[in-house]
Amino acid sequence: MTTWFDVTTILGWRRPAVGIIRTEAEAAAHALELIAAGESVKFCFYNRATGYSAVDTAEVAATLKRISGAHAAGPGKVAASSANKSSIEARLKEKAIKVLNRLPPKVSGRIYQFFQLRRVSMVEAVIALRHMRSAIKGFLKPANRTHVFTPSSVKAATAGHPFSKGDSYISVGLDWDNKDLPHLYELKKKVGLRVILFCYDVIPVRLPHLCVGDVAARFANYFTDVAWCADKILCISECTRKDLIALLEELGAPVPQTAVVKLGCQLSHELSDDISADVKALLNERFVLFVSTIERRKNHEVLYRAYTRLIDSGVQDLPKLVFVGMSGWGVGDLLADIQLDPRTRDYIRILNNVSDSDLMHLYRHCMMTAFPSLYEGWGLPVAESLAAGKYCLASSAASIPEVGGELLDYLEPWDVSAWVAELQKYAFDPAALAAREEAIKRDYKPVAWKDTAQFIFDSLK
Amino acid sequence: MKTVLLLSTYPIISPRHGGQVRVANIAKTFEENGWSVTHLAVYEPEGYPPSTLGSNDVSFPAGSSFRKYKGTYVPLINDLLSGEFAASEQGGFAEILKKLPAVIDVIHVEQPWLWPLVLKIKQLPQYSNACLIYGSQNIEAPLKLEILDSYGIKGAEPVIADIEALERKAALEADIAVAVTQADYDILKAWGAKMPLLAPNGIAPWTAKAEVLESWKARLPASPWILYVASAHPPNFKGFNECLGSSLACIPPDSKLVVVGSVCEHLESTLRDSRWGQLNLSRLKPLYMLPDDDLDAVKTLAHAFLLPIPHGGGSNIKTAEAIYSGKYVVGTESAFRGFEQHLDLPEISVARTPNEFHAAIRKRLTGPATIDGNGPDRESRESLTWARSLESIPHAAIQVIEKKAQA
Repeated sequence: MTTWFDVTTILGWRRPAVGIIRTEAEAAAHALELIAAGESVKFCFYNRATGYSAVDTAEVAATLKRISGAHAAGPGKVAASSANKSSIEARLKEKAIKVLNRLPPKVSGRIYQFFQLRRVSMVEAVIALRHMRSAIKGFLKPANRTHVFTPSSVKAATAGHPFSKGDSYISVGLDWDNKDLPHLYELKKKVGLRVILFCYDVIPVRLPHLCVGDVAARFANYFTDVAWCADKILCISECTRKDLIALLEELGAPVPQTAVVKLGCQLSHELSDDISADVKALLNERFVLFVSTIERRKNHEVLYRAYTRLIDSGVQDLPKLVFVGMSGWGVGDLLADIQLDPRTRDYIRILNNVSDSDLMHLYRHCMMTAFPSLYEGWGLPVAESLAAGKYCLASSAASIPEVGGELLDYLEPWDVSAWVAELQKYAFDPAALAAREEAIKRDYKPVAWKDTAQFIFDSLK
Repeated sequence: MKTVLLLSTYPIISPRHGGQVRVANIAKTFEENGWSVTHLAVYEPEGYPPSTLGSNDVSFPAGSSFRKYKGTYVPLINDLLSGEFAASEQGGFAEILKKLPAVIDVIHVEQPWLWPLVLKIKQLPQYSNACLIYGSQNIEAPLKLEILDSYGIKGAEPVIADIEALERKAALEADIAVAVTQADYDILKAWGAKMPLLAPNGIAPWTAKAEVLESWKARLPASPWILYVASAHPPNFKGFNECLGSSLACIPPDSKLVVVGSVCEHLESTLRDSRWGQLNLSRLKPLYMLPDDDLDAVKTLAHAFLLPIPHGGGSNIKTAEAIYSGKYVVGTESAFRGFEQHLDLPEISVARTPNEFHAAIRKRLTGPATIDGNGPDRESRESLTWARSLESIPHAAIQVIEKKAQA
């Protein structure tokens, strides 16, 4: 019996590794080791047009190599064998994004948001047009009963698969975008696959207002299909596990076995002396580091407000505040404020496209980090901060306290006064900060990605 | 040969909704027991096309002044208003009179609405000795209140009071008062009915044509799926979300909730508008109204039947069909009203909460095809057929007629 590890997500990934990509990549690397040790592990890839197919280890090894150096790589073409012909909806989305990319970001962002909010109604319109076409056919040829339109019949021929009876299948990737879970469910029933799937968080359903468009309905569908497909769901925190179970119970979906897997927190890239100018300029300064996409849920706003309050009350010589991450959704006004506000102009720096090596330098040289997020499925930047031996001003929300345990004090994410007090305390009391760092260096046990990967494969046992 | 005048507020030539089906079967049962049947409907022309009308049916025109309740228009109560129209010389009585048979042994009225017409006919000397049967179908006042409430119609208290008074009067004055459920039977008895009778709704056994069956087999999920057949009667969709917690996540990804009947449009909109709209639509397969041959095939292919009826009186014909099928049935306690004696059957699951509904549906759609590989025990289900469920009505009528003759 073979264990199949799905590498669909990393095969198509052309950018630096984010959390989910890193998880899949690290697990794939572990799978390569298992194969080398003689274990019956194979890789597979999903394509909407042709179904599942086996991927050879050389292609996976090359992909891992590409991903580990992707921060320096330019946009590349997806290997022909991995071209994922997707649904009409996905193809339309891809074409639309290509057109939008030719427009200025401010304009394209607005247009994207406009259509994203109307995504469901556009899909319904397409279905309605198909109904109309079917109705006209049925009207013209009333005797032909096969002209009844059924959306479920409009699906690609996905019969192909390399699985055998009793095999196991693991997927930890971007399954809501790349997979057809109803098809996986059919395969599971047909072949008797044992299926392990992942849950990173249930944010789109639990906090849809902090996401782009109305994603709750779409992700409720996804989590339901995950629940039907999986024999076991690996959740990345106890909080995520509880939220997932509560959601599945509310929806009425089956609740399969669940387990909590801790994600690794080592920055995999080695330090390079080739440091970018922006980062180099910061290394001689005192700064607080906040690593995260800049979006509403991450709550950069509370730090901006805390800084303005400190400055307004006459506090001087504050450390710089460095945001590392690309701009996301719902922060246009905040970014404009930061750019125009003369009080914070000299304090707040925003860096994007930072290489792993530069990020390591930033972690190493920062005074401390901050992570005021409103909700997380885990809280990788907190783990990375602790792994770098740095104290983190962390939010008390959701799973974040699971990351740092007793090593951190947790702050209510909207309580500006609490953030003001803690920033002031640690910015100007090196002894207090040093005491916290000492405790971290003594007590924090960073999770190795290897252990995460091993846990994933061991979960089949 | 005895003659029965059968009255209703809908035609029965092409029975579609539950009320029509019951009245059509009452007519059939009388005929099969040797009676001559004259059916007369006082119908709303906007609801029934000419092709569905019988020769005796009398229109209650949309422009009639009788469409007003005490001088104002109140929606959804034309059934109540049709009684006054039918019994009035200024309304439809003159036309009705022309259509009455020369001799009437029994006047059977389904639902209380036309009770004023029954009394008016009974006042005529040639019909004064007729036996009166009131077929209650439902306890109408609370049901009407629920329907009016569900549409947000305010100030309907006098209407509800009038309906209850009419029901009580019919129950009290009729020689035989027929209930469809034990609960309704108890109410009619408490209201003073002289001869209460329990005659539940039944079913007409169906068989599907092979070619139609094959055609539907190709279009419906290969995996087990659950069927809901219902009309657009508000309790059939208003309480759906209440029963299933607005979510169809209990349906496996390769299965569907297949829905047949005029409830489809309403249910689709109810499920789409819920928070889990996209999920729900991925699990829903509405087939809308189907010809009888197709419906027979779909019912034959179903793996399970769903009866998500949280409120409403009467006994549901769809419940009888579901039980008779021998397939899995998942429904509310209300849905099984009138069929309590079948609740011990192993394929039947009663669900009281969304969690219970979800668990039962998941179990049935992922479990074995039937409870018993030999199929259902047909004999124990014969009592569900119309022929058996209604036969007590003509028998009771004969008793009353004989008693009157002796008196």
